Amino acid sequence: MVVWLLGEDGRRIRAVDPFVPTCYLAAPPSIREQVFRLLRRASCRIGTREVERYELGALRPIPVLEVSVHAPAQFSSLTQQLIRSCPDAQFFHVDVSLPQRYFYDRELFPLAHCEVDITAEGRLQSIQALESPWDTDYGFPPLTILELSPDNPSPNPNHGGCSSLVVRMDGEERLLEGDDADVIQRLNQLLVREDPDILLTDWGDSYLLPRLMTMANQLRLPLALNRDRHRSIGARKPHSYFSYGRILSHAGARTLSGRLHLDRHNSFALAEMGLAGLIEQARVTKVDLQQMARTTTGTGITSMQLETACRDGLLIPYRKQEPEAFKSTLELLHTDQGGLVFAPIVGYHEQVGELDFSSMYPSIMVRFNISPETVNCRCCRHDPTARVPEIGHHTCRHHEGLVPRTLAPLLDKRARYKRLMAAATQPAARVVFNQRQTALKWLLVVSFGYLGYKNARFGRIEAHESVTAYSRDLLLQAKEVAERQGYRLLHAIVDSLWLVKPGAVRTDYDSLAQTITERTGLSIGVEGLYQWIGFLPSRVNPLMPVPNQFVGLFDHGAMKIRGIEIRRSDAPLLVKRAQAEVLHRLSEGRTLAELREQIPQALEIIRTYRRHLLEGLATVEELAITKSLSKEPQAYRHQTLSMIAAQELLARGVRLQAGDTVHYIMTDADAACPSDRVRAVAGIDGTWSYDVSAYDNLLLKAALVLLMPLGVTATSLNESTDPTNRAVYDSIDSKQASLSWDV
Amino acid sequence: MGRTLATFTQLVQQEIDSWSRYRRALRREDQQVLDVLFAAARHHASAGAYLARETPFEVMLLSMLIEQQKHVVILQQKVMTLETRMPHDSTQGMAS
Repeated sequence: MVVWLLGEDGRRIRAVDPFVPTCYLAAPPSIREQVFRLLRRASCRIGTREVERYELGALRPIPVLEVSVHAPAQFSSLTQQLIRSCPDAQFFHVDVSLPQRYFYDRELFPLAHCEVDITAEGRLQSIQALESPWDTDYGFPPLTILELSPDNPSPNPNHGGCSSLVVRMDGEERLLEGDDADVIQRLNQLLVREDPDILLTDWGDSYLLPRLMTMANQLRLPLALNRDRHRSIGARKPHSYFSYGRILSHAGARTLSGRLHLDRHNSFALAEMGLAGLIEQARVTKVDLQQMARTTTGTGITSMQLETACRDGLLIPYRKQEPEAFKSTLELLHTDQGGLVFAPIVGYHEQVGELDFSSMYPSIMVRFNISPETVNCRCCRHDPTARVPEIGHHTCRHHEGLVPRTLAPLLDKRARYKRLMAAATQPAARVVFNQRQTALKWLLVVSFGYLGYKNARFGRIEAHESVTAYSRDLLLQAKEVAERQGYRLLHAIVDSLWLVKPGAVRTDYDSLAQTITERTGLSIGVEGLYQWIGFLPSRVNPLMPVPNQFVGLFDHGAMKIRGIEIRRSDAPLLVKRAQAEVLHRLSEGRTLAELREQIPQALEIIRTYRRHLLEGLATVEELAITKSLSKEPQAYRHQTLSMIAAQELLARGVRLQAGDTVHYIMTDADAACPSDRVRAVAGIDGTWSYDVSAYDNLLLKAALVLLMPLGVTATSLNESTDPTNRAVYDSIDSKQASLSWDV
Repeated sequence: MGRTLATFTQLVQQEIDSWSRYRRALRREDQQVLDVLFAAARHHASAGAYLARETPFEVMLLSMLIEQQKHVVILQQKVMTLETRMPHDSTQGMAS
């Protein structure tokens, strides 16, 4: 195994650790003969021995053959060959990534501070971590970063627009221009001279690196992207996949050896939690940074479970690759995947408190010992305290499960980060703690999905059902405690409750949370007190409440907003800005009465935006609509606007796949000819125009959803914000008189 | 003396029990309304027992409706009394 070390003297060292991975197989003697025949033909040293090992949840061990491969590079091809030739044998430990297994085996983790004993030839004699992945006080390792971006204004360089290269290092920025040979040579000089540890790019996976490599090849020029000369650059093809109920596009990957390539535009982790969060995830999950940056969070939580299993000496069954089914979406789970939802009482309410169970699902798994092997165990069948509420399952009272053991330290570490964050005096430190706790939050969030996911190694549907059954019972217990104390339940979603009680103040909500925590054994906290909060109605039916769609003004002045345009990635910037301004205006009102007084000014904001649109002043940036393609662009049957934009890009030679995003502008949304309806942003040059009424409609809808519960109707909104009406002040006065502010 | 058949009051109780999870998942104000409805069903237990229908829940629903209808009639009368007491001109907008 090649291990790259950063010495205290600043040297970057390539070390080789003689690591011997093992796999196991269970098979009748006849098949074993065949296995031995195959192994004798292997080109590297192989060791075998008969051992007994446990499977997860098994009462008795099974006899298995342990195969150790003395050349890690051949491990994968050898095991694949065995699997193909012996379909009737059961295989274990064959498909866990070797770097991960190396980390488990040596009790190391990515970017660990460690002590090594190394020979002059670079052979590792010993390596030992000097810190634990559960430490919270580690610093950022002294890694050097070179940033590469295309100098391109387009939202996605793959969709068009030519560019030169922007390079940043130590806060210094330079532009690499000139012909291809110049650019490659100057970049290569930089790479050799600066020898950065991290290559941080924009669009490196899909655009920059593939193009740079092709250019260097064609010109036969060297380009030292890899630090390790012995290795080629890792490449993965682009593909689409389902995650959390949506189709997502993965732009492929270009991974380096001896250096890390991270692409800001191809990394969920970097976007959500920054570099500090990515490092945190890599440390606790033991998935290396390049992989962690590009994979789903589920790979991380799976790796943690695999490590627990390896530590316990359990066999890890071989898993056939199957596509993920439509399941386990964060949003789905919050509405109909077993969690309980109380539809909100539509309208604006004053002095509301929100209580949230912290990390509810993982906490339930830990508190009630829910794991695939503990649910419906044999030993606790008749123990009434082991019963799961509502459903017939029970969980083990004697043995702590694999999942709870894996999650408990995560929950604990996140709680410590939250305390550190609250105590931090430096804003920069607070940001880092926040990124790290967010990284752990994501691992905890997905841990639940992996309990019932058929592709998960340690998933089982009964375990999944038990968690949701507990969650429903806990939410109802919380509601019952609150109602007994005279609170009214305005809204509740799975693990959060919005409550109101005339005259209740912070200490009342704190003591309510305390009582619920004592009653349920699960920690619940006060997320915040709202001066006012508006639960917004459905746009289709104004009488219908919509869960998780609200705007609230906290007592400390911040707002919490869910489900409306400002939070949606597909709303044009212009609409988001208008909504943000209206909200800002509304937030000047501290009470419901004051909130109503803000309505005329809010209407005036909308009028300004409508006039801006009408006068043709809106820019491409303000109007661009970003949509994700839910199918392969060729598979669309209807002429949706995003499909038309996709067709335009395809015609220009852009490659698109399901899950990719397209950016377009509505030019004439109702035009008879589909290609007149929209224009792709990347294709806009020279003359263009936009569909005023289509954007005007979006604007009015975004305003109406906020103002409707305050008594503003679609008609009154349209009339009172008419940009062609010059009698501004008159119209507002008369509007104020005619609108009925219902209480 | 044991009974072969449950009394109608017992049937109402069984019905209430069968709705207990539904009731638990209602807000308190709605729970109170549900309780009033089942109280109406219990109120007409003797008529229900006399009918002895196979599907007692229908009888309970009708009993709930009877009590609702009685409230509607009482409220209509109250509105009429109030309207006649008020001066004529200010009631114009309310009549429709």
